[in-house]
Amino acid sequence: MPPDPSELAALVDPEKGSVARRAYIDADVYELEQARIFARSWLYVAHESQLGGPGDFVTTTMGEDQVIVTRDRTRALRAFLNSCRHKGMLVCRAEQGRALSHRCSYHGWTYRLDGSLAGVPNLADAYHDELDRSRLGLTPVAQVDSYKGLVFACFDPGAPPLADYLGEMRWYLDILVDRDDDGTEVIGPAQKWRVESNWKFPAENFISDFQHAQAATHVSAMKTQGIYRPVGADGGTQISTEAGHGLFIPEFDPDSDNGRQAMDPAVAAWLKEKGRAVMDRLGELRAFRMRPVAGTIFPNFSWLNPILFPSIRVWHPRGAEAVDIWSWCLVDRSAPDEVKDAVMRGYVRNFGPGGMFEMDDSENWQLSTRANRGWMTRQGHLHVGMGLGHERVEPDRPGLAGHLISEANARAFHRRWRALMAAPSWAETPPVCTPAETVSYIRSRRDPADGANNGVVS
Amino acid sequence: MTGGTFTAPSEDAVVEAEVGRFLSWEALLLDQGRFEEWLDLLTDDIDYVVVTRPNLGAGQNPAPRWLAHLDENRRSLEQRVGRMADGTAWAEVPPSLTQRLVTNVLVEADGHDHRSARAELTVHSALLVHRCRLEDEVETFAGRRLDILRRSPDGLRLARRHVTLAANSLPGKNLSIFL
Repeated sequence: MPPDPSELAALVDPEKGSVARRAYIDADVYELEQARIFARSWLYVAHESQLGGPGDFVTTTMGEDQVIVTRDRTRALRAFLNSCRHKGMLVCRAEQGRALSHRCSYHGWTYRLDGSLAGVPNLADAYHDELDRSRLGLTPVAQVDSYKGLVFACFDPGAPPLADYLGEMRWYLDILVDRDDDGTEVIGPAQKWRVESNWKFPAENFISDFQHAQAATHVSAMKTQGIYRPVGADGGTQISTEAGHGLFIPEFDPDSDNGRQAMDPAVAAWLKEKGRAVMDRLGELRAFRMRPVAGTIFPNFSWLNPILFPSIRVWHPRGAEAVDIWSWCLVDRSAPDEVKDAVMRGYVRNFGPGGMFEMDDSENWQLSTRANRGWMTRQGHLHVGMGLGHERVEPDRPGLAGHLISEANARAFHRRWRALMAAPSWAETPPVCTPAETVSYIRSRRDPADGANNGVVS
Repeated sequence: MTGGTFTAPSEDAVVEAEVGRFLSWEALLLDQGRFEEWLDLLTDDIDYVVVTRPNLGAGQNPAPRWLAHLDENRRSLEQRVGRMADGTAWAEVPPSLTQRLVTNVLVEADGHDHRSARAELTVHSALLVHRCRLEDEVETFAGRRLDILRRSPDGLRLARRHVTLAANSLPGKNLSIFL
């Protein structure tokens, strides 16, 4: 009997601060996610700096669908399924390059940059001129758009435009990608590595989990570099916005030297010089006092920006127990060469698969996933109730706020996940509540008797 | 560095054997987790890089900078070794079980006297690292190394290492070991 989407959607219980372990390993859950999350959501596919002119392309995946992302002759951004309409061979196997057409290596079908089918061998004699090439172009991805250099694509023509999808999160993303008129560029090639973890573990880690760094996982890396300064739960906020996006933001005192001694002198000097201009553009709060360490755009695009080694990454789902991680460094285009070099080295030494911080994450995610292979283990639940009921609206920033150290954002991610998993289409997805409405909803659903038992479900 | 323009290996068997011994000894230290002794084999100006390997297409413009998997100097390597001392560098707790195989050692014939007291040798070799984590997680890192070894009063020392893995996606869930 096919699985009931409503039953799978109900595996998360953000009202109680709990989630069934099956959500992180069940094959039926994964399959439904492909249809209802990845086939409908805006997914990150490229950075505009990789697509400078007509014919520039990258290949990537959206969920597990192979896609080509390119600029056509009019410089418009396009995305297509990277699969020939004849027998399905991948039309392009390079990860990046420039081509004015794409020719399949199997039977030679050739496609233009707009995806249309230009040439087919033996069109007259073997196909008897009966082939309607106009109907056999590469299958286009319904929507492609860019937000300040970040290119996203979406299979679902019924999904809202990218700007609406990102919504209030744009106000926070601007801290990363709108520091000046020149914008950002990626430094590649991508670091790629596979972790045998469900994709939601890293996605949730980057949307909600400030705590793990100072509580256990990254203590060693911070102490080694002399930057271990744990903060309290209210040392900042974590914010979730509509559509399940979120980020966590320690409050940063610009007059402290917090982290500066770990910074390359060239980077520190440039930052200081740049700070005034960024403040004029974004305001003092975003320019100086917010240090958005990490965030996730639902479902699987995250960024990281601790002590100014910005990076972006995608958590490509590869089955319920595997995720391919692709990561790039992100820098201001206008930064001087020595700053870009220092940022790149700082990133590589601390993050990526060889980074002193990031290397300690993969085993957490992998073994958290693997534990659920056991039948008994898999019947149970995980606790995601930190700070439940203490969500609020902050006057100086959009979105739903929780303490910096809480799981408010993980619960927001789950609420969004549940809404999409249960809905047959975008049109039937429940409308997103305002932050104030969500605060009321959460508080109304708390059972006072739950207080001592926060998030524990038998 | 001559890198891809390497045309002629040295035929000095004595130097080649000496270099081979150095690399085998280095591999043994790493496999046995003797990281402080390994650091002693590095020069103060050590430059240590493990590059990424994209699948490139035609017309790919070379980028001005290239993101690596590791891009280390003496200080960052000392930090990496140092943090393993107190047992909370979780990626290596418990330590990976490794077996390094270093072969195909060739010294570039660059016209210099490789036996002189301040000689620098450009060395190519092949590397295979078999790694097992926990119970059954086996990974294989294979690639080539391009090293610069420098003579010192205490013997050969590693001044530069450039590792090119035969892999696009890293064949492991992290790179918590030295290659």
